[in-house]
Amino acid sequence: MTRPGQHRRLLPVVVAGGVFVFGPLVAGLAGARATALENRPLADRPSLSAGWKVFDEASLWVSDHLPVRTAAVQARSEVVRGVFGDHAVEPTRVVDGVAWPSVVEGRDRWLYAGGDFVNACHPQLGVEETVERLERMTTLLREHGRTVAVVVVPDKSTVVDDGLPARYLGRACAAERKDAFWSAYTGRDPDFLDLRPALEEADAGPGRAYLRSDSHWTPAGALVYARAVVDHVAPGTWEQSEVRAGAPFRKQGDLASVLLEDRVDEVPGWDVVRPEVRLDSESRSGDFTFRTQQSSDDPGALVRGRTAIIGDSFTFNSRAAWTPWFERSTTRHWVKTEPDLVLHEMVESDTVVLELVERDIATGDLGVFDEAFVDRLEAGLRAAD
Amino acid sequence: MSFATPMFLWVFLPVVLVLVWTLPARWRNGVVALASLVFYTWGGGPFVLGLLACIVANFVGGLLVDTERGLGPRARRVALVTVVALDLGLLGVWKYAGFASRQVDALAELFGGSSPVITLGLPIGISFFTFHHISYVVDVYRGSKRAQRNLLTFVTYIAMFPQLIAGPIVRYHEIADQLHEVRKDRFADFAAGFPRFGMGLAKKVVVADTVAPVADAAFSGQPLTTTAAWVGVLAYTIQIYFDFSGYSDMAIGLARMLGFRFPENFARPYSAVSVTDFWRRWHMSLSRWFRDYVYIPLGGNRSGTGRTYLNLLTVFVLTGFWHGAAWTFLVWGLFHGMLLVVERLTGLGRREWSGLATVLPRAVTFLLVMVGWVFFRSGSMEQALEVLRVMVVPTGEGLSDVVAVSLTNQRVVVLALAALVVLMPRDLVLGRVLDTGRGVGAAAARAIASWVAAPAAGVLVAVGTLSPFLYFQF
Repeated sequence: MTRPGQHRRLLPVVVAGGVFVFGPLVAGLAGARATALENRPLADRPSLSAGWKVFDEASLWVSDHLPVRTAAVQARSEVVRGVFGDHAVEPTRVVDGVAWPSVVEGRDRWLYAGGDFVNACHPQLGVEETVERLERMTTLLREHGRTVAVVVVPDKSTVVDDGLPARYLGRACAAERKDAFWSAYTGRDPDFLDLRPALEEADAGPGRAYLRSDSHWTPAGALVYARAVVDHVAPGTWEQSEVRAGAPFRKQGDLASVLLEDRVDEVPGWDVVRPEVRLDSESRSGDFTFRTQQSSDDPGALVRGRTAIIGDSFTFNSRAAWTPWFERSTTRHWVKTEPDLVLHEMVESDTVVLELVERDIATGDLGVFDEAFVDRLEAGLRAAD
Repeated sequence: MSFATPMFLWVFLPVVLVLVWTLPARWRNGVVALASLVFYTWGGGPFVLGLLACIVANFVGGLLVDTERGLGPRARRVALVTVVALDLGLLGVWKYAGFASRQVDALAELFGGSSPVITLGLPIGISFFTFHHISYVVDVYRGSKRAQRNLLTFVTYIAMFPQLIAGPIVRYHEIADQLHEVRKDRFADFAAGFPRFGMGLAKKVVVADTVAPVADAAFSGQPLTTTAAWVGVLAYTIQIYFDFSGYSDMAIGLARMLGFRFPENFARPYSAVSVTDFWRRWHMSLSRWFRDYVYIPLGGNRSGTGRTYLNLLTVFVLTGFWHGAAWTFLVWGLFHGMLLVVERLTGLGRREWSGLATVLPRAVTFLLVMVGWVFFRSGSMEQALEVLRVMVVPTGEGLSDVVAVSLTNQRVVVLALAALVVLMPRDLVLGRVLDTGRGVGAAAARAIASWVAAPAAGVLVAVGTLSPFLYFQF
């Protein structure tokens, strides 16, 4: 047995241990609650119906709902940034045993999506097969009387290469694959649009073409996209409008958020001025669908008929730039919307705009647009004729 | 369940401690046994049923081989061989059947055929609880301890959660008496165990997990330069020591909090002056197990020089194979066994060094241990030989991208500071200082472990940037 005098000497260690072991539990019982730190809700309570997985669910629930977690994340971030000058977190994606960073930091605080490199270095499909499948879709749509525009949004690393770090994983293999893709894509089909020259031109301007800490483009980049599409599907329409400087555009960087950093990019904003066009109605539904109906007394002011704009976050982030140009448009997010709805929209429209990103398409990741989808599209177009 | 998780630290552990502290002292073993089975089920799921079946089989086996039982020597020997064969058979099937079937398939391919390859999930901790079981029945058979007659107490020994899935390997005779002693001074036990646990947690999450990505990058199979290979191997050398010894420290600290004393498992192995010395300091509980239950029964060093060398090589090949069912582990064990034989032949293993004269043997030993880790860490023999080739044949191209990208400022600093462990005095074993040290220095060490190391590690655990313990796979 230890004597009382020894107990007094042991007290500081016991207090430290007590606070460490029981502190979070006591804080929780006292009403302290965790807050959601990641871009997802906190884990649900574990359910016995999960079988053996209930243990994993319980562990996740405890980790998520730990009352001290927010304070711990802040403390760690302060130390890692303040003392070491590193990012608070270094999220990675392990592919073939290699941990690829989810975000790559370049010069002058430029951030790049890690997918720009890891995907290109691990292609899912050959370049030729990828482009052929895309070409089959556009050919089908054309053959069935649709007006088509396909846009592959270049990765930020493709256009803003001056911000890339001196060394990063996948530099050589990503460049090789992307070069091969653009060689196969450019000029292959009359409806394949290549935005790279126009984006590089926009990038030379004060607002750049892409946001520094976000994966998306700036309003200047969005205008390049809108103009390329409008010029392609309704030549001459763009000239009837005015684009002028608007309020500065501010956006919290999605790539910075992945690093648990709070960075806001501010770049010049642009307004598309079209006094001759009236917005008759617009609606948005929860399944990432956006509809507008517009009219104009000038018959050449709008892309006539029904337009399907099938895109992803680049399209949704550029809405202000391209909605003023279409009489009846329905925008669907091909990643987040049911493939059947995407297919229906393509079949039922007079004009189809399809937007994909380089980091996916250049590596053969065609998402929902697999062989089966193209077969169904063909059947649908036949049935609609 | 891993120790370095919020679930363990802030739900499981406080509940177990409160139960041990508040329920009658004689219930301690029951609480620990039940908690241990919950702990195992958390990570092992249905494998807990297999663990329980093994426990019952060995419990019965222990009763049969007990010297006081009245069975004849032959019957006891048959019972011992049966139980040990059962334990090794289960380990063989779960851990080695896949490896064996792959070798058969490879052989069949040579003759244009094929053979089915077995794929089984490895029950966590099977290598450890199998060795505990064997230790138990052999100790009882030898008469060094009586058979356990209380199944709950036996479950406490085999399944005790601090050591269940990653050791240290506690031989039965080291803990048998403690299972019946119920210490009353929980305050002192907690005060003695917490600093050790805190230090172990910090070694694991602050050091090992921080440098792990550098080692992972080097062993990812991407092209390496000479510098990158050395940096990666050094990172792994640091990682595996801090990971495994940190886990052992946590186990020893946790056991102490519950009123048990576990044997030491590490004693500054990277300050060893020979490979022989290294194995007196690295995973000591495994070395002792092999000595008691394999090396000595084989004849040890009392059956002639040639036989001694053969015994050494056998033990080390088995040690390597115990770590994993792959040629790389086998070669790692053989590599160490051969070095031990060389040291015996030359007398280097027994030579005493002191003062500055230790610098060169320490450096050479450290280098040899690093070379061994290349086999241990590599996914295949081809990769191991390639890494060794790049380490030896200079490429002169600085760091390769895959390693350069992994070297954040934090990792460089932690790696450099952790590498200083190699330079520390040979006899300064922090675990011993925390457990039994007296004076201001020891008190300061306990305070730092409790008030700095443990909270720092706790912050990292709460943030959730964790990796599984390396030794879970063994």
